[in-house]
Amino acid sequence: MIKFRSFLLLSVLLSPLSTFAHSDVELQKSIPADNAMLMSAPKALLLNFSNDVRLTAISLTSEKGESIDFSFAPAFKKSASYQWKLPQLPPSTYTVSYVLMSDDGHKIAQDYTFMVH
Amino acid sequence: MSYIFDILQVAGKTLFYIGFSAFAGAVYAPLLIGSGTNKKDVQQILIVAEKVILTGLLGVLLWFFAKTGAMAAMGLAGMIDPLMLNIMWSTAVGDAALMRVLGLLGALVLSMTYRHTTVTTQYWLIPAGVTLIMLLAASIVRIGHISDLPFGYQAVLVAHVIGVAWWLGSVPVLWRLATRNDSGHVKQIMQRFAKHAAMPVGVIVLSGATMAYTLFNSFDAVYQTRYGQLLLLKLALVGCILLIAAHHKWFLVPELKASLSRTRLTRSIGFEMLFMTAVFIITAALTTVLSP
Repeated sequence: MIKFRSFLLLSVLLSPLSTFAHSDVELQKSIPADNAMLMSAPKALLLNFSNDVRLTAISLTSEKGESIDFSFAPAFKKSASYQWKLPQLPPSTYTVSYVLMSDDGHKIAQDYTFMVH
Repeated sequence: MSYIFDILQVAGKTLFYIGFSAFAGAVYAPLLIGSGTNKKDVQQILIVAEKVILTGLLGVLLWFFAKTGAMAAMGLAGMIDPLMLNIMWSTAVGDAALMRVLGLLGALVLSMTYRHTTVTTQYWLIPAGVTLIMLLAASIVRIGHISDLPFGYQAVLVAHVIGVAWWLGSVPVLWRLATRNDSGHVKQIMQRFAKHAAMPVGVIVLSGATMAYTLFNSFDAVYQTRYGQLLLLKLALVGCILLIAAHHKWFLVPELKASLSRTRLTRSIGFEMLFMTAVFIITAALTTVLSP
C-alpha cells in the first residue's frame, strides 16, 4: 500500500510533463531580415524574439571583418524586442551575431547576414 | 575563442563536482569506519577533503568567470567586465555560484571545526554536513536543463546528485583506508560499504533513468545527437564502475587476507577513481556545452 502511494505521489509530481520542455527561443522578426539585399543602408537594427530574452552580446561586422559600433550595452532586464540606431553603413555583406542567455543559464549564440548594395 | 570558455567552464564545473563529492565522502567517513571510530582516521580524511574542497571553490570561481566571458563575447576581457559580472550575478547563474561558494565555505568551516574540537562524537558532523550537501545539490538544480521542470523532476535530480556525490566521494575514502589499514579491518570496511551502497546506487540508477526519459523526445535522439552519444559514454563508464564494484564485492574482498590481495584491491579502487573523474568531466560537458 505504501509503495502504491509512493508511486501515486511520484506520478502526480512528475505528471505535468512527459518530455523535456526546451525553452525554445526564436528570432521571430529582424530588420534588416535574414539574407535581405538592401538598395540603401538600414537606419536601425531591430530584433524581435518569441519570448523575453537576456541579450548579453551583439556584434555587426562587415565582410572585411570590420566591427560596426552602434552603442550596444547589455541590460539587466529581459526583453522580447531590441532596437538600435545604426551609423551609415557602406555597401558590404554584414553579419549580425548575438548571444542570448536562457533562463536555465545556457548560452545561445546565433547569427544571420544581410547585404547592402 | 568561445571554445576556450567552454573548456574553462567544464574544468571549473568538474573541480566543483570533485570538491562536492569529496565533502560528501568525508561526512560519510565516520559511518564507514564504524563503531570505535578512531578520530585520527577521520581527521586525516578531512584534511585531504579540505584541500579538494578548496580546489572545488576555485573551480566555482573559474566556472562563474568563464561563463561571464562566454556570455559577454568580448574575448578574455569579458570575464572581468564589471557590467557583465553584475548582470550574471543577478541571474540564476549568480544564485547557483553563491550557493556553491557558501556550501563549500561552510564545508571547510565545518571540517576544520570538527578537526579542532575535542568532542569525539560524529553525530553533529553528519546532520550539519547533510544540510550543506543539500544546499550544494540545490545549486545544481537552480540552473541547467532540469531547472524549468516541475518540482518532482527537481527532487529526482537532487536525489541523483546527492547519491552520486556520496557514492563517488566514498571511493577515495575507501582507497585511503585500504592503503592504511590491515586486511581484516579493510575487509570489514568494504563489506560495510557494500551494505550501505545497495540502496543509494538503486536511487542513482532509477533517478538517472527518469531524467534521461524526460530529456529525450525519442529513442533515436539518444544515439543521433551528440548529447545522447556523450550520455551513452557516461552510462558505459558508470557501468564499468559498477562492474569494478561488483569485482571488489565478489572476488577481491572475500580474498582479503594477504597483503598481496590488499594491493590488488587498492589498485582496483585507483582505477575506479579514474573512471569517476571521467564521469565528472563528461557530466560537466553535458551540462555546459551541449543540449539534449
